[in-house]
Amino acid sequence: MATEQMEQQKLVRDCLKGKPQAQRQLYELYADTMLGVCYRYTRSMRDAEDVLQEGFVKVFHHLNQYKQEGELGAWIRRIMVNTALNFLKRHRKYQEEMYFTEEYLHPVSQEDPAVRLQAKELADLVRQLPQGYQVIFNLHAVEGFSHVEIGEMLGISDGTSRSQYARARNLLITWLKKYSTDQKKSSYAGK
Amino acid sequence: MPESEFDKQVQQDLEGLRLRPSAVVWENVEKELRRKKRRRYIVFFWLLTGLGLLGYTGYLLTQKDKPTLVGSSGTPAGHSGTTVQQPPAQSTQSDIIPSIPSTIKPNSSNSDPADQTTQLNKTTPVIATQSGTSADHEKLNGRKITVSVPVGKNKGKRKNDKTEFPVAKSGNQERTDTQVIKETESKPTDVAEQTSPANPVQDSVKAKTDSAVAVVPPPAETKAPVAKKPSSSKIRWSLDLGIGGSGPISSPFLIGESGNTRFGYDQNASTVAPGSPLVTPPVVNYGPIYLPRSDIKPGPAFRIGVLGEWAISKRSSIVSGLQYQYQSNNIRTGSYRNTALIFNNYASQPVSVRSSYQAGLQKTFTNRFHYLQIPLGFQWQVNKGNKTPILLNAGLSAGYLLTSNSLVYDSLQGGIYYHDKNAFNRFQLSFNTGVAFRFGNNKAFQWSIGPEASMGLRSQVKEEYDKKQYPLYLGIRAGLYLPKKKR
Repeated sequence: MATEQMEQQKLVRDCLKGKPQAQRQLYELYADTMLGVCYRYTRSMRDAEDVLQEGFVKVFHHLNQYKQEGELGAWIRRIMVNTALNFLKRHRKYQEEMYFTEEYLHPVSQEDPAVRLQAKELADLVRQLPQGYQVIFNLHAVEGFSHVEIGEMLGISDGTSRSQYARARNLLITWLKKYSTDQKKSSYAGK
Repeated sequence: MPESEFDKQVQQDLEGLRLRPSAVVWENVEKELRRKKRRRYIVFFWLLTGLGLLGYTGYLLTQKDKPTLVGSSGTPAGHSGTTVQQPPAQSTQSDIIPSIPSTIKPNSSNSDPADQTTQLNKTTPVIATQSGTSADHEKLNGRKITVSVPVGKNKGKRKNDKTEFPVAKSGNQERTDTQVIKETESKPTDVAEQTSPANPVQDSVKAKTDSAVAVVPPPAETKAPVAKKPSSSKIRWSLDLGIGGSGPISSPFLIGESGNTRFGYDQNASTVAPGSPLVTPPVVNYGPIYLPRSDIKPGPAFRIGVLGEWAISKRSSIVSGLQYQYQSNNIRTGSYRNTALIFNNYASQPVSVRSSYQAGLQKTFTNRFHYLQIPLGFQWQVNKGNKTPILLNAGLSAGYLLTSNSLVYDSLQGGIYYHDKNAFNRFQLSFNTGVAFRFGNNKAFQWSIGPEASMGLRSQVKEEYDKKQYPLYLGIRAGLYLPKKKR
């Protein structure tokens, strides 16, 4: 573990020196995971890659601000999330969908369905949520931000974030249930 | 935080999602990194250049006794060792003849008057000497002048003087160097009267494929690539103001001759227009007495104009417009002489002037230049922030000299200053640079302020008239942007 950390520190130092090989190595180390992050926030792979590219440029540009105390992966993930949010704000096609209306608090579904999907399929399902729901769901359910933090990040109240999350969660549960029903039907039909 | 098993599973699954990006992503990241590095070098270069130029200009404009400003401080070879005390403030004929101390120390090499006369005739054939200058000596009133005789050989453009103009022999009192057209009583004129996360990444169309997506792609994936928004092509107009100081230097960018380089003009007396009678030349047995050209001190300058900014990207723009610039500098002259003169200048060109100033240190004369300029420059925002953009600008400016009252020096009659409109280059090309801080970005009125410097790339005075004088300007620039129209 300590060796791994030392190697990571050396990698960061080399990147700070501007060594192209180290930069490539760092990119290779985190690119796959970070594309997964970007993919969840965007509607297309092209946009996800755009965010990834922009995010990595920022990572290399601001690597000197990384304090070697925390995990590098978490730091990069935070940059990717911020970059993705900025990307959504900048692009009209996302902007038009990203409206957050003050809604009454929707009751959170108490259902607890089993998720029988691959990570990619689940991500695709999340991406089909309305853009506002998608972002808040990702920020809260996956990234672990509190509703207050999400409110600050998106410039909305924490109540709005809460209600949007509840709606997103309910919608996702409905889709998952429907998906599993369809799966069952198709498996029965197959038999 | 995950509250139920469902939440936990969703978090776990989505966190672990890994997708392989296409190779183009890394290529673009690498390209972007290289571009940023290059941009840093460019910024560094421009900052250094700008600061260097500003510093250099400031240094030149604040120097009083250094030879970098065009003037006599760099004692010309012809006047080496010449020290002149302030001549009398009279504007009579005696003004023409500078005061000489009762003790004149001839150069050791010219100790023998006979030899010296011979040498004078050989080396400075165009100088008319006047024998029996005891009368002149009497007018010295004990003023201290050490005279050195210009015995330098004729060089360069002076080569043909010998053939063009006959030499008056020593001892002859014929006045052959200047023709007096009209000599009236000198009028003492008041000379003073004349005197981050917002980091923009290109949305360029990339040849990316959804290589990693194996599952049914969402409909949005088939959307056309988002074309990059073209930069705003609107012109932003601003009122451009500048105030500072100006003064000429003898060599721009420290290239070429320095201020104390020998100037043939100072080594030789003026030539005589053929057939013209003589004015009593300020010469003694040992040769002509020169009052060297004055130091040129910087003077106030200002500029006013209208500029338009054409944005070529988010942080760069092309700037052009129309400006009026006033530049000035100060020299010291002797008394005013309302005497018309025709003589040949350093380049053997006939010059006709109605009046002149004797060289000296009596009065301050302000040389004024009025330019009309069309600048063309590149402006680049150094920082990314929009709150207080720092703008670095550099460019060229084509100028036309509308009018000038500036005087040029001639060693005629011991040194005179005269005005000749033909002596100045009408067209000027200058290099401008500066830094500006723009304020009020979110308000109706925006304004900017910052230091600037400009250096002329062409001499103000034609080479055949006087020393090269490249105009230098250092000042503070302010811009007031016209309010944007609300739609």
